[in-house]
Amino acid sequence: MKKDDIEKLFSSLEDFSKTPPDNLWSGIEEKLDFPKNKKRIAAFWWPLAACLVVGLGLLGTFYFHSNPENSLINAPIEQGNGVVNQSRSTDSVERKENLEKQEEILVPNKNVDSRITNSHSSDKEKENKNAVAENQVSHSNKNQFTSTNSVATIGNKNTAVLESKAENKAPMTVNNNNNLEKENKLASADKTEKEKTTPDSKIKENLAVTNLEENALAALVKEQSKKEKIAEVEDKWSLQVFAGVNSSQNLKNQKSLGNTIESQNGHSYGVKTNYKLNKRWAVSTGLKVSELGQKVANVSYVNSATTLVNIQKAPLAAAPQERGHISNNANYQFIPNAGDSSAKNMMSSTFYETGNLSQKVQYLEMPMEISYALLNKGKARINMNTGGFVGKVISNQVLLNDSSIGENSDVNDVVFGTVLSSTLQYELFKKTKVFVEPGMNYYTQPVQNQNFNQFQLIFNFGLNVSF
Amino acid sequence: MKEPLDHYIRKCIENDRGGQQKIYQLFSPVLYGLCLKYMKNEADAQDVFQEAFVIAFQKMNQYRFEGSFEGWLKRIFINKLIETLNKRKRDFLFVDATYEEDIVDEEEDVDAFSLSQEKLLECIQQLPDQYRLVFNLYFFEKMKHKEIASLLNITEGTSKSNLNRAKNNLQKKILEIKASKNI
Repeated sequence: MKKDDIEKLFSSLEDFSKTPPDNLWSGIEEKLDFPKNKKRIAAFWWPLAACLVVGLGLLGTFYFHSNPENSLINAPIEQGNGVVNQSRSTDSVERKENLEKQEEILVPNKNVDSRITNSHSSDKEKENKNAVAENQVSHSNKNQFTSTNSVATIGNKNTAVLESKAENKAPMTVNNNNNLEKENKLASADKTEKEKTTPDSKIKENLAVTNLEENALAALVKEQSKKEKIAEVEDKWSLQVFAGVNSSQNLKNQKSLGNTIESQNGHSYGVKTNYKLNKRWAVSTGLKVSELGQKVANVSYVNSATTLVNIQKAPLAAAPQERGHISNNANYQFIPNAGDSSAKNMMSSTFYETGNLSQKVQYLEMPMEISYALLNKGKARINMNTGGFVGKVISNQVLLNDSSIGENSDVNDVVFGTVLSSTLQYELFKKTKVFVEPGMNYYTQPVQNQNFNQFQLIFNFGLNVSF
Repeated sequence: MKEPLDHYIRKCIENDRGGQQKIYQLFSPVLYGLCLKYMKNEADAQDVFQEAFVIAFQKMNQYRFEGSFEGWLKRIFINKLIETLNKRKRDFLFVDATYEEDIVDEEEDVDAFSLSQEKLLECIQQLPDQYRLVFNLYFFEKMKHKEIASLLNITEGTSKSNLNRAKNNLQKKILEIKASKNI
């Protein structure tokens, strides 16, 4: 048997039709009367997604617009200007001499540190999308209500048969003998059907007449669907521009200088390019500037530039960061806030000042992410993204009472991290989408020898342009 | 000339049950036949047939009265059939993209060999899903391998390979039937 024979044999199924069982129509009617639960579920999703966006937006707005001065801090240990037990100082000869002078300097700070805070805590298918390229074959003379028992015959090798290979769009013809056989059978079968459905067969005739016109239109539709297909393929790439706010969080409840590390707000911005692997999965990479930081309230320090104190003589604590080597500025010695008063008593804090310490490290990051579309319906899309990133330090500073005093010590020049986020995207124009992206970053050891915030909540807004 | 059909389509757009029933009566035999060719058995075909008809009625307002209405309906059905088969993936066989011209042209005497449509349909239904899908799209819908590849998210080579294997399977089945008839 030759390959062509198979094609000939099966060509009789080309216009195959069979009257469906009667109960199918009642099933369809039922489904039309009671739409699927799926629609209800979809209807449920939208308000949920909207609530999520609004909720996150409000949270972000309130959180990031709250007064940074009202951050949650512990009650200051030292009241007043940090002067504690001046008389118990062991090496206070020099200090005593300068006592009056120091007090004069420290007086203005009296009210600064007596604040006790009580504020807030710190995130269709297009119907023809996969359009079967319309390879409309006109089924003239086709009889849709019959031919269930007709017979396909092959075997007369001498009969001319036109092959119906796909490359050849010519409609298939069957050999003459077959035609005769078929016609006879179809005719007899038609008779009974025609009696039942005379108006329908009129419509059929009308359809046959308009086939030529339809084919021309069908070709146009085919062209159009092809163009759409190409456009769809071309839209595999997209470019995202985004900016947002972030908040570095102390989820491990770490302490620095004896005080609990607090969150630090920052901002981030960048570009990302995205490549769709298929309908659900996509990968993306790009460049992003992001800021990681932390705050420590009510830290005691000595500024040798103003106090004329030899800070080498300041008492040392156990942990490296407690020795006060937070900044590379040698003029500042930070004094740890020991839990028990005896340790404090040992220090002559006559000359200590207190202030709010703020540490910031800015990175240029290159993320590598993979995303999965949880929802891709109409103009909306919800993605879950995860991946990693590598960051290079581009800015590094320590601020004391909002004034820069130098850079953080022992900052790792290159940092690695992971990201988990969700993108809620809405198609604004044909190729332009807006999106919001709440998420979380984790940085692996941004700074050595001292505790530093490693978690970062992010909330980005942006535009996505497909090309 | 198209007015009676257009009339029923408009009725469908208005969710008129009478219009829907008329369209069903007109096109259900062809579309049911289509489902039978793509699905493994009649029960599966009936499920898809019902679901696809519901979708067609729900999307009737998207029909622009351009081109063949039957073609439009068929596209909805074929999309639904592909979607169903993709979801199932029960016996999907993704053969590698190697195109094998492995049909042996046996010069056997095939004179006066005939098979009923039911028997032929049975042969097609016995094919693995992926072979049957490619065979239907290529052979009955007259799609090119490039189009099939794009539609099914496979390579052109895989499409060719699947078609070739489908033909091989069909050839074997037909020869078996023939042999049993000769006995």
